[in-house]
Amino acid sequence: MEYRIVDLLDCIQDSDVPIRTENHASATKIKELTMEKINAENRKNKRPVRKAARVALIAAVFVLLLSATAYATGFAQSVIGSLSGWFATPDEEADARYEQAGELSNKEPVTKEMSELAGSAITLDESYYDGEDLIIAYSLDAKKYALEIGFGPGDENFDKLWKLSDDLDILWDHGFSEEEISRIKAEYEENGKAGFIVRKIGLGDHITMADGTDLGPFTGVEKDGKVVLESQNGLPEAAKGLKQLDLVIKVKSFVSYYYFEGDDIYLYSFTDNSEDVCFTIENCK
Amino acid sequence: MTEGKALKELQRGSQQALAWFIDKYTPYVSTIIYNIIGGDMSEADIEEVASDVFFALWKNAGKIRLPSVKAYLGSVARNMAKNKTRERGNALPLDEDILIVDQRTPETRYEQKELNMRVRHAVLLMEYPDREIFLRFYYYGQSVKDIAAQMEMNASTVRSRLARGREKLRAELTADLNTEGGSF
Repeated sequence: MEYRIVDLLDCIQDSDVPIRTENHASATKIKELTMEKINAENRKNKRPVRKAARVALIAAVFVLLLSATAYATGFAQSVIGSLSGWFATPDEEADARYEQAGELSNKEPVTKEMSELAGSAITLDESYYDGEDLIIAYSLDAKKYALEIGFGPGDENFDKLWKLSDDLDILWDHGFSEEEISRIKAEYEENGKAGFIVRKIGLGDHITMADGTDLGPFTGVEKDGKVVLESQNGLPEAAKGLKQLDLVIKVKSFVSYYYFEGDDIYLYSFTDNSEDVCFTIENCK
Repeated sequence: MTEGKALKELQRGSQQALAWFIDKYTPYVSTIIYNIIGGDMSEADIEEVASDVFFALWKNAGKIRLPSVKAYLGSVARNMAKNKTRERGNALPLDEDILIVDQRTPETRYEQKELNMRVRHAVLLMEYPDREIFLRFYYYGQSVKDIAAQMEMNASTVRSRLARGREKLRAELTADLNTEGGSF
């Protein structure tokens, strides 16, 4: 049996070898050629350029702990339907699903004020349930967002911190703004360390039925100030074929302690309060 | 802009972020393409292949996580350069590029997944500087002369260490999974 070693190494990804680089090409020309290819593909697919990446709700709950957004009142158009053709990556099946859901969905916003998390409210802007699939769009009016810089971990909480990353860029993934990251960096530059506390309100990582049945993981997309959630692997059998679906969404108040000491960034996060919010979604078929 | 921010922006569809990556990684990507394709292609050809690489980055941005952007670009640049070389009929391998493995029965032919695992394992087991030399030659397409110059060693040393790397790879591919050499 003969193997070509160059081909065998196709399975390798390396970035450690310090190869000496030279400019064998013009970056300006490469930009032109690449943009031509992007434009050609957009024309071919008749789609706008990519506007957002899908994110997993469960794995990236912090990303979806949206800072309070100014949620639009009474939008006439379907945010679910508007996802059809929205992604640059062609997916005809998904497009057809969004289009159909957008036509049949309930677009009457329902807002629930929260008592435990006073001052906050969650609005179910749109919902689609056909007995098999569930897609909802919600917006959160969360009053309790705060970033307190200057936290210094004491003995009682220092041990609870776990290493999050060795790269401060991880804060982008946690939803920090450029201005906030600048403030954190300034704190570090001044004191050689930066501790900060974030308090915010977001959805828990599970949506259940009224009887406690877990509806499984959801994928989430943020669009127009709303988050559209869709069952990732399909609904469990217990949630299928019902005339109406009673949902329990857990809204939580999170406290996160971050501590950056130059090399590594540490995190300790916990829920300090939560409230179950119930919505009923009628089967549209 | 930091790489983390640029990647996040790229994932949101920012063409400015793509331009940032092109500015940053053009020397890296074009060097890999140049090394693999060789001197028989024009600068325009290299730019064409490089734009394919960055177009792939654009399309797959959502799947890429830090800190692997550089590794991703290197891997794609390498594969696209190889494809271009093949298109041009320049893929005749050198004798030392071929690894002959004695596999006595058809049953011992590896599935691709296992083959990849064994190759990664073999490369991982190579010690410094053998691993770096092996990757420079077979992964990045650098010549023995260039490797010797950049690593400040004799060309003959580079060749002997390459031979040692090939032998290690051959041993890994011929090792029985139940023997010591193949346990991983």
